Amino acid sequence: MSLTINRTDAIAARPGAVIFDTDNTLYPYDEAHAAAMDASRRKAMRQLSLSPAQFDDAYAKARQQIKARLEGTASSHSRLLYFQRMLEIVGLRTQVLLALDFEQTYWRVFLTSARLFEGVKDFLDDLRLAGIPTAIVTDLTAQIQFRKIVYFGLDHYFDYVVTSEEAGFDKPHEASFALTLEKLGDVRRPIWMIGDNPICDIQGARTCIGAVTLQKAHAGVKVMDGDAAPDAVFGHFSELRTLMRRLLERETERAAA
Amino acid sequence: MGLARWVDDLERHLRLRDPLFQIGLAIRLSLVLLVVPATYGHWFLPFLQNSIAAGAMLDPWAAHQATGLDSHAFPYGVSMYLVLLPLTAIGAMIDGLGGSQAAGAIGLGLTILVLDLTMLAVLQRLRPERPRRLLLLYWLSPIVLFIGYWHGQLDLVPLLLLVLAVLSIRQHLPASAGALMGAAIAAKLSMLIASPLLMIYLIVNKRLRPLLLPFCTAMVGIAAVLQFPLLISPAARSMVLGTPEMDKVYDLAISSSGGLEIYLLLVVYILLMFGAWSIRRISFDLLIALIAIGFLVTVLMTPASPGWFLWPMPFVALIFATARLQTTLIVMLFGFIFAGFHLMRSSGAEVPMLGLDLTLPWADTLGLTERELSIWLSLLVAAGIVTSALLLREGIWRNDYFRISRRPILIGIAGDSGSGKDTLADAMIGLMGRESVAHVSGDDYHHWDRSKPMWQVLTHLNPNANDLYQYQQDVLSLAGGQSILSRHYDHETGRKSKPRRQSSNDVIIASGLHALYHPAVAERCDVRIFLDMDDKLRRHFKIRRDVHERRHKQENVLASFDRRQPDRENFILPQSENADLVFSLRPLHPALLEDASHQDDLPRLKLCARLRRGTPYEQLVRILIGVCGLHVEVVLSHFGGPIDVTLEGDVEPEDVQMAAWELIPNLDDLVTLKPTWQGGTNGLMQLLVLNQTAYALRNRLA
Repeated sequence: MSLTINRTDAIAARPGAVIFDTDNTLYPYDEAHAAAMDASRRKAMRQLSLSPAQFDDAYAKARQQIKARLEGTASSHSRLLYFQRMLEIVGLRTQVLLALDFEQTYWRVFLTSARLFEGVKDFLDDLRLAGIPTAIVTDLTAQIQFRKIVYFGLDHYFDYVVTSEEAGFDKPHEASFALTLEKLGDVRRPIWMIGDNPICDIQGARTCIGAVTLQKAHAGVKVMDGDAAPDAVFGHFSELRTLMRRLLERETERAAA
Repeated sequence: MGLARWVDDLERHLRLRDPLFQIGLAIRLSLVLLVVPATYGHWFLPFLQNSIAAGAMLDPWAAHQATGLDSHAFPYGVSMYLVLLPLTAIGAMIDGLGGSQAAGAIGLGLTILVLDLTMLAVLQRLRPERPRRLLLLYWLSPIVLFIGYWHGQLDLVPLLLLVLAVLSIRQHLPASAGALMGAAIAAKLSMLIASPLLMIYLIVNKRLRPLLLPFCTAMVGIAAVLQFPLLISPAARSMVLGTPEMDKVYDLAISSSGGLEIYLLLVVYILLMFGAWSIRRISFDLLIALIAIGFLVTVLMTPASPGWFLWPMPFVALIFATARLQTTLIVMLFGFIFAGFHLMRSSGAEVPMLGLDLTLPWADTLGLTERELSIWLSLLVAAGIVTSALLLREGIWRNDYFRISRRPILIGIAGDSGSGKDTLADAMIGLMGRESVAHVSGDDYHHWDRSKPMWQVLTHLNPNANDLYQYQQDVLSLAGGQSILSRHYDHETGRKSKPRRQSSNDVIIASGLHALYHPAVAERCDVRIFLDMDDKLRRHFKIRRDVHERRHKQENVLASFDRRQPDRENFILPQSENADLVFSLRPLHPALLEDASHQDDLPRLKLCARLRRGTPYEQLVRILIGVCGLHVEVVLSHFGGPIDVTLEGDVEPEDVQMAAWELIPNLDDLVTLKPTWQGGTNGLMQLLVLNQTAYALRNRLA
């Protein structure tokens, strides 16, 4: 995958600010999630004598129930709630310590298995040097998203972070985007939204705040066509670096002329 | 979706999008499709195709001999034959339809390309931090390209098996490593050169010794099974063992008396083995460097076939991947000189589509004189020696682990009675391995047994009650690599044992009330730890241990607290000023310690660690928050002052283990094969001590 610009006019000048999604945009989510689930499953086999199928079945049911009950909120993604309910479904009632243990196992393995996409920090550094404000707008609870940001060493790169726990609703609800815009303050140029999800990130940001949308595409990411297509699609952050360098050079040339 | 993910994985491991990769692949594919090396045409293809045509897969050597063709065609073992057969056989079948050799050559070339790609993926996995440099050093190496695709040698097969064996060793899979090594030897006997180095690596690293037996068993077993055709086939024996290549190792010799000769390669190789043996602990990177040097010395000290020059290349690439660009350029220059020389000197290839026959050495065509070729050869040897010298510099002398492993690591743990010195020492022994640690306890240096009357007038905390001079001598002797004679104090009986010999080791842990008291010991310590404890908590633990475990009377224990206080303040606490790391355990809820109803409960604790200024803590804090989910508070008091880190929260052994792997580069070289990670504050102390040790070792290099 290389950079594809669907709307050249939208990406003709440097942005006023850049908003990033986190999961599966800054790092590949699926591998880390698979490793974390595998560790949790092995723990369940070891400590609770559950078969892999029993664990998967109970976890899937738990996740489905929690999501249905808390749809659209940050807590609907809570691993702690999933594990708590999973333990209840297998007949152990509420096991507080075990639920906490499973949650920590999940996130410990998740984080140590996750690696930032190549070039993320370089791109963020380019934005910093160009004086372009940055923000993260992400679903899930602040506690775990902050842990991730600290772990990846991204805390110094972003000016603002908005989580769906803080905003009250998951993306694509406008609350997260509106709060991000409010935090960024007076931005006079177009805002770029960089994310992987065609609905939550791309359509959400375009509809709610009229953002220019750039989709991070890699294995497992669906890219929409037609009106729902993002303004640009990229596979590697190095491509965004090249794009940004070109835009900044063009701006300098214009200013000189 | 599956295909997309597979491409993503390939992209990550091979860097498919990198222009350097694409250039290397384009060169390879062009050569595979357009070129038929003379070695293919004269030796390998006739051998393989004949074995297929005659249906003589069990003894292809005999089938070949029956044809009366060149007896040097395939001086390799059965594993080489099995790897090369499938794609060549498909090509041969296609050739059978058209009556040419072209498809067979492409099949053989594609086999080499697949092996080459696998080699690159393995190298990228072993050295993920410098992928582009590996592309330059290996993928674009003129030596690799010339040997594999123009001159057409097959050394990549045993070499890949060897590199996979090394990777398996890295992953602590001794049986797989041995099996792969056995297969490498069965493919080409010269791979034996590397096997003693792998064995030395497993022997001198005490923590890895349990891997030696399964490695050797699998190596000998697989090599024996795969060499079986040599036993049953005289043709195989004659072609594989009778190859004149074997005699090249004796070519560089000094004449001795009585018509005897001293074989220089043998002498240098033995010296290399001895050098490897002399290193206290060989890190994985040192092993790589030693294999590279072993192979490079072999090819430089023999009239080596061009294919032999491939042997050191993967290992050279791994070593120089992290070196300066200038070094990479020198290695590439060596490669160009090699390729240039062998274009002139060795057989080449045909380009059937263009009707070009370039199989003869170009020197013949261009009319180069022997003098001119000799100058070129001299350049090649000089470049090889420079590369060897650079290997020594980058791989050995500049290798952090080599430099720090030349003397033992000394960890001093001081603190008051009941502060957890032995617990921490045991926790560190659990990590670093009993086989690698010598522990000296200050308790063994009390002047008198417990029943002696002198304890009525002196406390254990008083330096005069301890033979601190001997303690200092013993610690420094062990730290200098010498053995000591020491007595052991038995807390059950209160008596000291007869003197017994204690050997030095890779790590020395000196714990005791006065471990950092003597300036000479404190100065020599790589890591100085002082264990402090909240006063009430110390009293709580002391009673639990001395009364409940050691069966002392509670009133005596309490009385000794007051009696010890002046000595504690005068002789114990000041040692914290020498410490790099001061641990202080504090109760999370101090009021509960005084609550009689909670006296039997284990109090919940937080760990306060005071780090000396300059100690790296930023990454530690990130990992403790991110991976372990702890609450971490960092306070920098004033300029030049220490860093106070307070850690609260539950932490499991798995958290500590993962945090350590994230935090400490090359942790594998520091801890034992199956380290015992602890949870709670002990686990956090393990992590902080490892962090401090890694920092101290890096400082040794400064």
